[in-house]
Parts: sequence; C-alpha cells; structure tokens
Amino acid sequence: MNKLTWFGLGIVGFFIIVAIFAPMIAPYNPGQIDIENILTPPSSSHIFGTDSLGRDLFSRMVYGARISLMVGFIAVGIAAIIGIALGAIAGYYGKWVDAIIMRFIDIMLCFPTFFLILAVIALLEPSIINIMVIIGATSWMGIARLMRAEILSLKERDFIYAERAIGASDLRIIARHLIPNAMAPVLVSITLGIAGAILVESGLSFLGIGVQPPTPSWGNILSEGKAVMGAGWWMMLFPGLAIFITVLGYNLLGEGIRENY
Amino acid sequence: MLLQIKDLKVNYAGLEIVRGIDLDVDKGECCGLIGESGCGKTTVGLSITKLIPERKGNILAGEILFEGRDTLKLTSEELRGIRGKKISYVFQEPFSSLNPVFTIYEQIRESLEEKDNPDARIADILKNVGLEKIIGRKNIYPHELSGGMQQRAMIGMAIASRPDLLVLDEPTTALDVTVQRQILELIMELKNKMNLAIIFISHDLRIVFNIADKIAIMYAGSIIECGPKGKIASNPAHPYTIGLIDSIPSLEHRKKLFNAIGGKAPLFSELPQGCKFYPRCRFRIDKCLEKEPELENVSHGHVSRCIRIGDIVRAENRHNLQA
Amino acid sequence: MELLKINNLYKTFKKHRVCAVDGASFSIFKGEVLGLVGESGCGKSTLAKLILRLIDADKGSIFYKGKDLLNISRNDMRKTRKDLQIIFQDPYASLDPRMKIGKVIEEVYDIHKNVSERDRKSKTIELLETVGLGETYLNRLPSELSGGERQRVGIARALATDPEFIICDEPVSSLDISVQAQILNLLIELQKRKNLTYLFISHDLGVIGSICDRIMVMQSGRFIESGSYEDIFKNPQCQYTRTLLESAFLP
Repeated sequence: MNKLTWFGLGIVGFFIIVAIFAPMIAPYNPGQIDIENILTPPSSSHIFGTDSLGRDLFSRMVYGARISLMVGFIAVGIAAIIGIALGAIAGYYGKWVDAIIMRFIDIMLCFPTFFLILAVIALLEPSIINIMVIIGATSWMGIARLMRAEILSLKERDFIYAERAIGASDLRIIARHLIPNAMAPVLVSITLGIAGAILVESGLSFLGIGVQPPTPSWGNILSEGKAVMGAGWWMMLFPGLAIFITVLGYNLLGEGIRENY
Repeated sequence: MLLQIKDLKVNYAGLEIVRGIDLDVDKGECCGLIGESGCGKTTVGLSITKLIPERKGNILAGEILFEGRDTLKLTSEELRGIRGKKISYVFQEPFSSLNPVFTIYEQIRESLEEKDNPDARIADILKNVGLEKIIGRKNIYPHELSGGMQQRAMIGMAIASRPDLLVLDEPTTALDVTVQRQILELIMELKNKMNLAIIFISHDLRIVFNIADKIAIMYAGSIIECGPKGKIASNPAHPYTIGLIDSIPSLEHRKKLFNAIGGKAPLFSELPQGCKFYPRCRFRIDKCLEKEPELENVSHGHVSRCIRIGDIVRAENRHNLQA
Repeated sequence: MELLKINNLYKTFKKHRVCAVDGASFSIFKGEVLGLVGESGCGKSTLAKLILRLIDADKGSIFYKGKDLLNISRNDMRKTRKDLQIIFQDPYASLDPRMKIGKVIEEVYDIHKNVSERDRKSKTIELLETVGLGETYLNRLPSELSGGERQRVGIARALATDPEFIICDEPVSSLDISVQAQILNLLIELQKRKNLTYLFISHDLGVIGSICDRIMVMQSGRFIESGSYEDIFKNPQCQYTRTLLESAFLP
C-alpha cells in the first residue's frame, strides 16, 4: 500500500473513532444552549467557537460526525445489499432474469438521483432513517453492474463447474464462491459510495430537508452557518473542512484498494 | 563456435535462479535446452541478449561470447544491432507476441535487414515459412490467422533479418499437435537451408528428441546433463534424465505404472545441500549430500553432474529410444 | 455392463454459431478407460460438460442406470452427481482461490452428508493421503501449492463423493512431464483399486495410448473413428487419425 492509501485510511479511522467515542471527546452537551455566549469566536474554552444559540461548535461537530458517518455507512450498506444481490442473480442466471434486472437498472439510472431524493423527501418527512433508505435505494446500480460483470467471467471458471459437479446448490455457489471472489472491485465502489452518501446527506441537510435540527449533522451546521456568515466564519469553515477531509479520505482509500487488487 | 555461454549466473527477484551455466552452440546446430517450469531455462535464453527486465533481475557473472564478442559487455546501442538482427527470438504465444494493430506485412517489413525492394523479399520470406496464401495481401492482421499461421509469421519475422542464431522458447507448446509437427518441420527445413544455429527451449523431451542435435538438461538452475541427442536418448547418465525419459508415455508400457520421479522440484529459496536432485533421487547415497557434484565426462561430448555415473549407466539397462 | 449410454447429443453455441457437439452417440462400460482424443476446439470439453449436465444440451439423451439425465428433476440430478465426477485440466482455475484445501473436501461432505460431522476431518485427511498429500495441506490455500499438488486436490475432491464414473478432462496437459507421470500413476492406481470408470480426454495420443482400453477420435464436433486401442493405433481407418498418430512423436 502506498502512502496516500495509508493517509486515507488514517483519516477514515480517525473520524470513525471520533464518532464512536463522541460522548467522551465532546467537552459540552451539543444541545446545551448558552445565551450569554452567542457566536463567540474560537477560544480556549470553545476551540471551534459557539453557534447562534451559544452551543459549543466542537461538540456539535463531534456528534455530527456520528450522524454523517452513520448515514454514509447505512445508506451504502443498503445499496451494497441490493446491488450485490441483484448483480449476482443477473450475472449467474443470465437470460431473461438478467434482461429484466439490467433494464430495471437502466431505468433507475435515467432518474436524476438528487431530484428524485428531493421529491421523495418532500412527500415523506425528512428523518434520518428516510434519508438513509432513500440514498441507499438510489445508489446501488453501479455496484450491481460491477457485481454482474465479475460474476459473468467467474462463472465460466472451472472451479464453479467443479462446484456444480459435486452437487452444490445455486445459493451455495453464489454466496460462498462467486460473491467472495467478486468482492474486490465492489469494495472499491462501496468505499467511494460512502463518500458520495456523506456528500448527499450534507447537501440535503444544507437545504434544510435532511437531518433536522436540533440533531447536529455537518450539513445542517453548515446551513445554520450560512445565515450568520458575516458574523461567524467558523460556523462554515469547520463543517466544510470536515466534509472535505472525510470525502477525501474515503476516495484515497478507495483508490488504494483498487490499485492493490 | 558461434555462441559460447560461460559460467552464467543470473539473479531474479532476489534469488539466484541460473547458477552457473556453460553451453556452446555451433553454426547449423540445434541445441535443445530442456527443463521443467521454473528451472531457469527461459532466463538463460533471455540473458543471451540481456533481455531480462532490469527491475526484476540482473546477470551476476559469466560471459556470453557471440562471434567472439561478449554480449554482456556491449552497450545497449550495440545490443540493439544484434537483437532481432543476428540473434532472433520466437516465443510461446504467437498471438501475444504479434502486435495486433499492425498488419503481418508491416511487421515483417520492420524486421528486414535491408529496406529496399521489400515486397519481393517479404514474398520470399512468406514462401519460406509456408504462408504462400497471404503473399501480396498487405492488409492481413494477426487475428485473421490461425495459431499455427501466426507462429509461422513470427518465425518469418525472426528470419527476415537473416540471423545467425535463433532462440526458440517453447515455440510449439501453445499449438495443436498436428500444427506442432508442421512448425517443427518448418524449423528443421529453415535450419538446414540457412545454416542456422538454434537454441530450442522446451519442457517436452519428445519434441527435443525429434529436433535437436545436442541436448542440455537443466534442473534447479544448472545443467545436470549435456550431450549429443543419441547418447542422451540411449545412454542417459543422470538420474533426473532417466526419470524424465521414464515419464514419457510409451505404448510398450501400456497400462503399467510409470517409473516416475517422486516429490517435486525444490524452490530456489530452499535449495537442498549438496546435489540439488538428492531428495528425489532413486540412486542417492550419503556422499551426495557433501557437495554439489561437478559436471563430469561420461564419454566424448557427454557430461553429467552425478557422482554415481558409473553405477547408473550399469544399473539401468534402458530400452533404446528411437528418435 | 453399460454404465452410460449417450444418444445423439447436440450442442450449438449461439454466440459463436458453431456446432460444438454434433450428434454424439456412444456407450461407456463399467470399469473401462475410454479415451477421447481430438485437437483444441473439437468439442471434447463441451461433451464432458454436457454429460455431467454442467451445461445444457440442445437435444439428445444420456442414460445412466435407466434414467435419462436430461429428463430428471434438478433434485434428482443433484443426488446423481455423487456418482459422476470430473477432473479439470487447469489446476489453477479449478480450485476456488479463497478456499483452504481442507475446506474443498469438507464442502463435498457438507453437501452430500455422506460422512458424519464427527468423521469429516479424519476422512478428509485420509482422502488427502490417498492422493499423496497429507494433513499438512489442510490449512493451505491453492496459491501455496504447485500445479501437481493442486491437481491432486482436484482428484481428491472428485473422489470425495465416492463416484463410479470420472471424466478426466485433460488432467495432465498443463503439467510438467515428471509431474504428469506421477498424476497418471495415481489415476491408474485409483482406477484399478476402486474399479472406476474413466472417460479420459486428451489431445495427446501418447497419454491416451498408454492408459485407454477403447478410443474415440473427435474432429469438429463429430466422432470420426472409434475402436479398441489396437484398432486405432495399429490399423487406423481415417486420414485424420493417421495424421494425429504421425504427429504424436510416439517413441
């Protein structure tokens, strides 16, 4: 692995640790309002400053990491399950099964994803769960295509014929032999997908239809910061940097995995 | 002597995989270099014109005298004047050796030693390698030819510069048996017509017995037996050679078990002490472990790297292999 | 006794528009080694896969013990697979690169439940020893093995169901000559000891001639000649068979 991959892994690992240990790392309760200290710039008592309600920005960012990463992981987890299953089935069974799944993917790809999400959120209510499900349900197509392509070439290999010759069921062949051997490129796609999902969540929250205040997420902190941009530069700088660095980390890691397989 | 390899040692990926090879090839002579996969035979072939990829391997010691000049001491400029001109190569996979975006005609023209009036010369070459069918057809690409015809085209490119030495590395392994036969006949014919020296690298004894004048057998990076074809076939003097010959399927031994060599070839990272063949040898004695044997004379021009030469020749009353 | 009877088997690959197997009919008798010889692309490997229903035939029938394998339920077929096994040519492609050697064998027991949970490990070791490997191989990955060792694992996997019939699809073609002799010895010994029936596929008449009782010659999807070893080697009828014999460098 090269240095950049390690760097990416370091960033990813760092934010995961921050998210897991948020209660221990955050110096204040992220929801604690302090009218006396509204919009104080970064100082020794509030290292990232405070927001327009006097809440500690650093603590909100730490808890926001939890939300952002959770949305990223679970949304991509949903996408991976759908994508791997449909891709594997299409690739293995071929013929009409493949044709139906592939046309369905084509249809899904025709929708402008972000507007589809906007429309669905407008109909439902903007909760964290809805956001994760909707991001997952609209981002599995790339994974499915990769999976299918890998399986198409793997299933002609002799060891798959050998499995069938010893009487292995289709489910066993797909789950134990095909999918594990096809995972490398899918893993790259998943890693890059997490970065994408974090960006989408931030975008939605920034527009006010994502994670709803008072729950902190990087996107909605950024959105609150926009209102007070002149008075509190720190309100936009830190969440913006956090999103940028996290996405960079996942992209570097994804590239690293790609090169090592 | 056209080519003399003296005590060649080559390092590859940190391991010495050619451990002191001596080999002579004369004009008009076909020398078969036999060995199993990973024994270092291909590396020997590549070393002759320093074709070993620099990042992976390097030549540690030795001399390779080609027409009296040591190719290992030549500059890369001078080497380019020899490679593909005086010494040509043909490799195993014709399709991956040919450039798919150029026509056969263009690729042969590239290899010509004199560039004027190429059409007549190319027609002559195509005729020589049995590709009369595509004479005058300048727009034929490699994928339009069968595997056998591709290999004929490769041989055509190799002889286009009228080389003195041809290094053939498993040239027929990827081909069907009937095609293989035709290609071997073509090589023999060209050898006689052009008085070519040939190094024929192969894992298949049956082929080498048919085509070579002289045979060198490699095991674990060194030559363990070398001699004229007839002597190797009728009077092999190394237990490994005997094992290889016994491993050839033969109709006389129909339905019987082969007198096969046991075990497997050692890794270069864990070569045994003393004789490298000791662990698999059916003639082994404790003395074999003391040091690696030197090549010793069996008879004129026939050497073997075994301290039990005398016993082996007497012990094994081999049936005569008609080559 | 007739073990398998194959009638008029056809297979065309739509993509390439070639008839890979063009009306194959033959019988395989219990305990014999039937050789199938032909050059690359003649349809011999396709035929092997058709017989075991690893790919679907266009038409024809394959009778095994009175049942037409092309007309039985998937479930019945899965049970019948126990009796009919195959060994592949390329030992680098025929093992799951992520699966440890012990697991390769244990999986067979897992599928067929023919060995009790308790005996699996000892049975696996016993089988590995039968093919010349041993307990030390249980936890190794295919990438740590040589070509010959992998082919032995392939043979062990085929033996794990205790089959009656094994198709050997070019089992020694990609091996070095000394390893080839070892593997052929193993196959010959197993055949005698367990009274196995082989369909032995090869492009090498030398190998075919040294172990087969009957031989079929295939060209472009058709059988062009078949007969006993003596018929084919001493008195070949077809020009193509003669060419193959001349090309085979039989010492």
